[in-house]
Amino acid sequence: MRLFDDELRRALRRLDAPPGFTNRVMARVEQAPAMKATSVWLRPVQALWNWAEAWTGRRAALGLAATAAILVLAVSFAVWRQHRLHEEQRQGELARAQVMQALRVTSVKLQRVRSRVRQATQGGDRAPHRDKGSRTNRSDQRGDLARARQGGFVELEI
Amino acid sequence: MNEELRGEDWGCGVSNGTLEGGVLELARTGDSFGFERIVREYQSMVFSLAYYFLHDAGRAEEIAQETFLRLYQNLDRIESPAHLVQWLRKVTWRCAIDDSRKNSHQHSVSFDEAPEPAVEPKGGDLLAERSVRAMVASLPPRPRMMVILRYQEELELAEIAEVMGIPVNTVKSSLNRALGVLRSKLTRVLGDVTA
Repeated sequence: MRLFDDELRRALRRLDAPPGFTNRVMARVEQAPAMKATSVWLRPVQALWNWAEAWTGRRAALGLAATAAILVLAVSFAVWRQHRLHEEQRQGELARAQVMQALRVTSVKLQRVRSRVRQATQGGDRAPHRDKGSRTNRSDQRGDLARARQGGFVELEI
Repeated sequence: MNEELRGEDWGCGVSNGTLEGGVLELARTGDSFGFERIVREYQSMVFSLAYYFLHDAGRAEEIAQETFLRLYQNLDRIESPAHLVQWLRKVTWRCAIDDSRKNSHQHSVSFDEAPEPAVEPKGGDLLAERSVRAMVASLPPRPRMMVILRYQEELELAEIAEVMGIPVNTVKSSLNRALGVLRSKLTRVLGDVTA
């Protein structure tokens, strides 16, 4: 057993590096960019990468990184799509409210027109005059319009 | 094997963090003399790890240069001379395994398919050493590096596990298996080495 270990130890003794190795390394170092100063926010990412690489090997670590990137992209896309749907829904609600408001206002206007037409047909050739009753009628119409703008419903009779 | 690597070149002792802390500090400030001292101190260790793993002097030098280049770019992360040694071993291992994968068609031999050395034993030490190295080189990558770290660097199982980033139990079982295969092959080739 000991002889076997000694054989291995002897066969795997350290070798000298080839002549001129140091000079070649120093030449490459001089051409290399300055020392990397990893920014503080990148250090956890670097540490995570080193850990994954140590545990799984470079290829698997690259695979993990690619999977993580795809997951991040997928989640970002889902969040963006959800936000867009919400925004579209909100705009739809707004448009609906505007249409309802327009319908209410139109309804009030039509009622006013209808009452004038009725007055004209009932009064025959009598000229329209401003009396107490007509003023009341007009103030009722104003009240209807205000109610319509506030969201109240006015029955449309044509 | 390269002629320059034979004979008198086999005399380096194992150096584990013998560098003075001051040299590391000097190198960190960007002093090229400090970094050159680090390279001189550890080039033998890095080159040998890569050479025994790849069994190719040219590729081993390329890996060793790449390792020192990475060290230069990451000097600010090195905490102590002992950390420096472990860091160099780790990076050498990663660079070597990456290189091995790129050239995987050259090193994809399983335990049982590992070839017998071409050289017949004639009793000479050099021949025996070459036979052992050829057998180690025929091991699959992970057990190969375990054997190299165990016998070249004289590391404990926990240290090997740390360098390679794998559990200690995995190191223990793989190393035992690799040594068993090496022992049986060496016994066939060189005679009884288990005595």
